[in-house]
Amino acid sequence: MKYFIETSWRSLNHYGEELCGDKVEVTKSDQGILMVLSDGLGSGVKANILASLTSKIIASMVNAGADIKDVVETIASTLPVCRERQVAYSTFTMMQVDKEGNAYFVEFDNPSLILLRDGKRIFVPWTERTIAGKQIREARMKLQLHDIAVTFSDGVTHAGVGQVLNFGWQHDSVVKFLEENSCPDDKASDVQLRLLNHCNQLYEGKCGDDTTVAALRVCNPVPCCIMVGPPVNPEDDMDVVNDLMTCPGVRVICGGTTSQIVSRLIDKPLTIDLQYFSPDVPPIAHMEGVDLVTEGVVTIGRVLDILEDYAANPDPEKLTVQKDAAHLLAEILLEKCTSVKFICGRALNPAHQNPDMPISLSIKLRLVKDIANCLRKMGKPVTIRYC
Amino acid sequence: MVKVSICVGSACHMKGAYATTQLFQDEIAKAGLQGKVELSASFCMSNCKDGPCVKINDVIHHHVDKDRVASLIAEEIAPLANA
Repeated sequence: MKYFIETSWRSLNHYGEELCGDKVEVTKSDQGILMVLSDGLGSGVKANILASLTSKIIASMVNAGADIKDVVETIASTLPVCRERQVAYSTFTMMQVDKEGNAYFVEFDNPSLILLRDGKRIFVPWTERTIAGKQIREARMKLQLHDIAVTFSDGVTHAGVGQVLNFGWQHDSVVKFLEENSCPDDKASDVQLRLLNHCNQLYEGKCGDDTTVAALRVCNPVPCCIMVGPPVNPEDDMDVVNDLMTCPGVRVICGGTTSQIVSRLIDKPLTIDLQYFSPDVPPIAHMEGVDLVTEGVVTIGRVLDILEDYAANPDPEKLTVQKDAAHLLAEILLEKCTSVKFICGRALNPAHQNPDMPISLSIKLRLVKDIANCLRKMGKPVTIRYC
Repeated sequence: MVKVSICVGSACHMKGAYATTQLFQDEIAKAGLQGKVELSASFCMSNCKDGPCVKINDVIHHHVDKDRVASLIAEEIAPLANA
């Protein structure tokens, strides 16, 4: 079984700091994913440099096949020494999971990661060893479908210290919170957001420490294929439509002419809703075998706005409340699939070729590219096939 | 039954198809033609330059913005529906 490893992370900066002293580095390859969370000593720019160096060194070396012993020795001898404190220090947690579910966890001085299975914390078989004077904990184990691993910086366990809670939120309370609030269909992003939002509440919106949560989840892959625009060469229509219709996951068509081509080639009628859910976005259409059919450039322009807004301020509820075509598509991209493939046609729409038309091919291509980049930044693999 | 189809493709949308659609639904009800007119939406009718486009049976009418809806119903749709 080939799993997809979904990842999600987010930081809250120490109140008043522009830079975060925690850093998460995620790398994805054909084998699986590597997620490193590092917390640099102090806060602000110094901590940011320490954490960035640490997470980057770990990710680069481990991906190149280096042993953890060499990695830790490299960090120990590389990190710049703080002039005030006379130490070079940055904690880290590394989570490496391949597509078979084989996990390798390594921790140094971070709060211990929490592994959830069916909403309950499960045991991680940690062993300890000392490398370059640092006490390292490591574990290897097999993860199962829907297991969720959550790691965080000490900003989480210290949340509310001296404010809402005298001694801050302890590790056991975090475990209890995660267990009590877990839902069967939680995604990595749900768990991450829930925990981080709770920390923000405990800090009363003014974090006393950089606070970061990173989560990964083992899930079945759900690819999404989106056809935007007809191919430049009509002879390719059949091939492109085949590409869309053989996608085993979610199928989407954006564009009136495009949906008419698909309708003709797969011989399924296209019916368009008369009902507008928003005056800004044209209505959706329906076609058997396709999960969502929308108009083209106006809708995807709005999708980009929604995605950018979500990246800055993630609120899954906002996505599900609104039912217009752009929100439906944004919800598919963010919540209902694990990877996205755009089939981007470059045919010029003859009907658009006049000076009155505010729509051009270049706008459409740029929107697709921007949506792809926005999704990638949020950890979703995206490919674009131009045709 | 008179078939009336309003284009909600990109260009017509930008030229006011939303208002046209809303108004068509209201005006057809007002004229008491609900049982005689089948109103639907359509994607691009390939007349983007002259949108918003509305197809009545097989004839495409151009520039059907909200100001033209009432007259189009009175002059084109009602005679067909009551024929």
